[in-house]
Amino acid sequence: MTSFIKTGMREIGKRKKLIWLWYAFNVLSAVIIVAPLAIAIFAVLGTSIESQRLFQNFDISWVTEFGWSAQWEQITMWLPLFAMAGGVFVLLTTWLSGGLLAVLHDASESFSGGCGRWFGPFLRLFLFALIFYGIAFGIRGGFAALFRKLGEDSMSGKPAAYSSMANFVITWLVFSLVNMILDYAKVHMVTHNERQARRGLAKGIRFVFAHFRRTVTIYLVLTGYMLLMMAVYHVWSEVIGQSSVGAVLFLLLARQLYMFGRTWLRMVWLASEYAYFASLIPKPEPAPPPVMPTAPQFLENLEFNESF
Amino acid sequence: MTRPCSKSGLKAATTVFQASDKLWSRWYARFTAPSGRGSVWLFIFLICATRLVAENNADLIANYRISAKYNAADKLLDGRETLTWTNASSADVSDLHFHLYMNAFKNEKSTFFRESGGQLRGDRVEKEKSPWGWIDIKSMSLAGIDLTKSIEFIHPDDKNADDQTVIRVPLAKPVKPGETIELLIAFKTKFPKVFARTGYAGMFLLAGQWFPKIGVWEKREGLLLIRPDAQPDFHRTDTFSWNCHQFHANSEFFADYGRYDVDLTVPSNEVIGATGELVDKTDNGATTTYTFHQENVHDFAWTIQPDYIKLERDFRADQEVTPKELEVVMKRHNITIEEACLSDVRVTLLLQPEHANQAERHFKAAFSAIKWFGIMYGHYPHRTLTVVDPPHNGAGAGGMEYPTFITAGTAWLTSTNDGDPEEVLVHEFGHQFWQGQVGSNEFEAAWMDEGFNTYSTGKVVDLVYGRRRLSPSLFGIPLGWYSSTPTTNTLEVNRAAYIGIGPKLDDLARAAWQYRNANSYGENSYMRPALMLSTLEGIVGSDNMERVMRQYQQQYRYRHPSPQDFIAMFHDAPEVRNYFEQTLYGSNVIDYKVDEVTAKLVKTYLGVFDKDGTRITVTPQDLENAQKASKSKDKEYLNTVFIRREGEVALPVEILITFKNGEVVAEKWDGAYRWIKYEYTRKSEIKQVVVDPGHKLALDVNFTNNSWTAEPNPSVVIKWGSTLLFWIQNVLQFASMVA
Repeated sequence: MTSFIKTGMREIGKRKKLIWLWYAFNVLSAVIIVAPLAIAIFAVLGTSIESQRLFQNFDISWVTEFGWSAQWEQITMWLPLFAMAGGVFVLLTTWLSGGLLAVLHDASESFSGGCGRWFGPFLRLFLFALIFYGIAFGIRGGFAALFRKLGEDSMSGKPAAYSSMANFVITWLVFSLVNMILDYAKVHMVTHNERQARRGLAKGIRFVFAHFRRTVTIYLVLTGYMLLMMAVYHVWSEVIGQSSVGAVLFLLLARQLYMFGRTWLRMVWLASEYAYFASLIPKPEPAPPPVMPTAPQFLENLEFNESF
Repeated sequence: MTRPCSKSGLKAATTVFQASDKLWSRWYARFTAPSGRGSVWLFIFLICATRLVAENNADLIANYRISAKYNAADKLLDGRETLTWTNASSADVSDLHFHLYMNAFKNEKSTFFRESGGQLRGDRVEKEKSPWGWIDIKSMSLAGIDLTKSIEFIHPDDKNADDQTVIRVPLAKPVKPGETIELLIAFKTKFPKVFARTGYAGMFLLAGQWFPKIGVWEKREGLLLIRPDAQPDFHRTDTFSWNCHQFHANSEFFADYGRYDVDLTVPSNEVIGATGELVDKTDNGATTTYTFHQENVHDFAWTIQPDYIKLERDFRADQEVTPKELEVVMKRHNITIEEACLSDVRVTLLLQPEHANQAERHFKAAFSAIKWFGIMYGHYPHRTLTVVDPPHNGAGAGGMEYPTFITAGTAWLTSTNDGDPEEVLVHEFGHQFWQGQVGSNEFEAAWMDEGFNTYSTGKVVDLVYGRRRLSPSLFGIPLGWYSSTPTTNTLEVNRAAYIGIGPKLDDLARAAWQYRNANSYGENSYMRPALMLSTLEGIVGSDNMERVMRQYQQQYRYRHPSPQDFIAMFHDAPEVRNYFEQTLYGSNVIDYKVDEVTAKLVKTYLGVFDKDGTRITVTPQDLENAQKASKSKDKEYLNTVFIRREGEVALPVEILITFKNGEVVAEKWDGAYRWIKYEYTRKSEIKQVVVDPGHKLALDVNFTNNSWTAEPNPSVVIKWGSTLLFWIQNVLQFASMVA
C-alpha cells in the first residue's frame, strides 16, 4: 500500500506550486476570519496593561475579561462572515481538488482548466455526500444514545468513559468512510470523465466496498501520518511555549510549517487514492508495431532499367 | 520537641488540672521561667486542655431520638421519632411547623419540581423510572394526645396548594416559654431516585432530609434590611413566628441545634456512614442496627452501599499543625494557645471501589481543610468527619454538606491538580463552619453560608493547591493527560461566574428561591458574595478581615446570625457600612477606568507679564527663540490624567502614576464624583497609570480598563493573532476534508 502513497508523494512533489496555492488559500481564508478578532483584541489591548498581562496565558480570566471588555455579542455579529469565509474555503478546496486530479490523470491538461471543469460536478457530489454525512451523523447519535443508555444506570463511571471513547472511534470511522467514498468518487469521475455526480458517487461506493481492505489501509496509513504530524507539532508547541518574543515568532513559524505539511498531506491523500485507483484501471494493450505491407508482386518483378 | 495539642498532652493536662491551684501556680512559674523554655510547648498544650473543658455548646432546642428500619428492596424506611423541643422564646407557641422535605420529590406539582423542572445540580430526574419519593406522617402525639388528624399542609412561600413540604400542627394547649415538650412521631419515607442531594442510585443510598423536622421558632429579623423596601416579603418583626419554608429548588436548609440519637437498621451486608459517632452496633442476623450520636448539630444524614471502600484515618492536630503556625495564629488574633489549638478528628472515607487510587487525594484535602479552616476560624469541634464519594449514577448526591458528614465527587479518570475532588471536598467541609456551626438561614440569606464558604474555600485551596488546571474530558479522556490546559485560581473563577452570568441580574441579598434563575442563585449565593468579601478584605486589610471573620465565626457558633449581625462586626468602620449598602442590597457594579491620559509641552505664553516688579512683553519672536534654544531634556510637560467611575458603586480607590523618568505618584480618590482629574507638570511624560493596582476591588467588573500604558507590547497581539490564525487554519483544513 505504501507504494501508492509513495507515488502520491512523488506526484505532489512535482507540483510544488499547487501546494503553495492550496496553502495560500488556507491562510487567506483564515486571515479573513481572524482579522476582525485580531482587531478586537488589539482594540481591547490598546494601551491596557491588564489586557497585556491577561494575554500572556490562555486561561479562564482571559475569556472573562476579554469577553467583558470586547463584548462577545459584538464578536458574534461577525459569525456570518466567519461562516462565509469557511464556506468559501471549502468551495475553493473543491475547486482545487478538481484541478489536482485532472493533472494527475493527464499531465498535459491545464490545472486551472481542470479546476473549472470539475468544480460543478464535484460541488454536486459534495451536496449528495451531505446526505451521507447526515446518515453518518445519525449513526453517531444512535450510538451515543445507546452508550448513554448503557451507562446511565451504572454505579461505575467506566462505562460512560469507555462509551465516550467508543463513540469517538465510531464517529471517526463513519465520517472517514463517507469521506473516503467521496474521494474515490471524485477520482472515478475524473478518470472516467464522468460528469454525473450521482453516478460518480455510486461508483465511489462500489469501488470502496469492492476494494475495502486496500482503500481502508491507504486511508489509515495516511491518517497515521496525520496523527504523527499532529503529535510532533503538539510536543514542539509544548516545548517552545510562548514566553518570549523569540518563542512566539518561532512557534508562529512552526505552526505555519505544520499547516503547510497538513496541506501537502491532504494533496498526497488525494494523489495516493488516485494512484491506487489508477493502478486498477486496465491498461489498453500496447499497439502492435506497424507491419509493412508486402510489396505487390508486380513491383518485385519490376526491373528497372538503369537508364530509367 | 513536644508538640502542642497532642493527645498525651491533653491526658496529662487532665491530671494536672485535677491538682491544686498551688500546683498550677508552680507549673506556670516553671514553664514561664527562662530556664523552662524548652518545655514551653508542654505548658501550652496543657493550656489547650482547658479549652476543651470549656467547650461552647449550642442551645439544644430540637433533640431527636430516631429509630428507623430501612427496606432496601422497596427503598422504604419506617421510622419512629421522639422530638424533644424547647420553647426558648418569650412567647407562647400555639402550633408547630414541620418540614417534610422528602415530599418535594412526590410529584411534578411540588414547588421543588415546578421550580427545578426536574433538573438540578447537573442532574435530571428520570420520570420514566418512577423516581418519586415521599414522606408520610403515620401518627403524631403530644403528651398522649393524638395530633395526627389536625395536621395540615401549609404553603408559606408561594401558595402552591399542591406542595406538601411544610405542615402545621395546631396544639390543644400552647407551649409556654421555657417549656419542653416531647412529641412522638411515626413516619414512613420512600426515597427517590437521587437527582438532587437525597435518594438511591443502584445499591447506593444517601439519606438526607429523610425525617420530619421542626422549623425554627424565632423573631423574624433574619433579613433585617438597610433598605427595607428591598425585600417586601421579609421584614423585621418584634413578635415570634415560625421560620419554616417550603423546599425550593434553589435553596438549602435551616434548623435549630440539638442532639441526635439515631438507630438505623439496615441489611447486614451494607457499609454505613452517618452524622456523628457510632456508639453501638447490634447484629440481628440479616440486618444490623447501628446507633449514632451527635450533639450541637442541626441535621442528620446517612449513607449505605455494600461495596464502599471504608478507610479511616486520624487527623492528629499535634502532627498536622506546627508550633510556628499556632504562634502566628495566636499573634494575629491576639488569642491564647487554648483558643488557637485544633483538636483530633477521626476521618472516615467511604470511597467507590473504582476510585480506590484517589484515597490519598481525598484524605489530603480533608486534612488540609480541617487544618486551615481551624487555623482561620477556630477548631473543628466534632470528633468525626465522614466523607462520602457517591457513585457515577448518584452524582446528584455529591457536593453536599451535613453536620460531620459531607459528600464529595470525583470521576474514574481524573487529571492531577484539576481541582476535583479536592475543591468540592474542601468546600463541603467548609460548610461545617459556615452553616454547620454558624447556622445562618440558607433559605433567606444563602450568601451567608455559600458565599462565606466560597470565600473561605478559595483561601484554603489557593494556599494548599495553588493554581488548578482546568481539565475537561475529551472523548472520555481528561485533556490534562496529554496537553497543558489553562490554569485558574479562586479569584478568576469567581470573577468568571460573576461577570459571565451577569453582574446586574439580581440584587445580591435575596431569598434563595427568588433569584431570577438557578444561575443567578449560584452567582449571587456563591461567587458574588465571595468577591464582595474579597473586596471588603481589600478595603479593611487582610489582617483585619481575618480577625473579624474569626471573631464572627466564634461569636455566632451555634447561633442564627442575620446579615446585620455580620455588618455589625465592622461597627468601628462606618465606610464598611456604606460599602454593604452599595454592594449587598442592590445590583450596582464597581467599575473604575483610566479615561484619558495626555501630555502637552508646557508652552511659552505670549503677552505682557509682570514679574518681580518688571513688565515683560513676550513676542512671537521670543517664543521662536525660546523653542530653538530649548533642548529636549529640558522640555516640560503638562501631564493630565482623567479617572472615571463607570459603575454606580462609589468607593475609595488607589491610583498609581508612573513617569518615564521612574518617578511614581500614588493618589487616593474617594470616588464620590463621576470623574477626577490629576495634573502634573514634570520634565517627563507619564509612562503608565493603574487604578486599583492591587486588585483590591475584586468586584470591579472590568479590570482591563483599569490601566493605561504609553508603551503597549505588540508581541501580545502577534501571539494571539497567530494562535487564532492557527486554530482557524486547522478548522478550515478539517472542514475542507469533508468536501
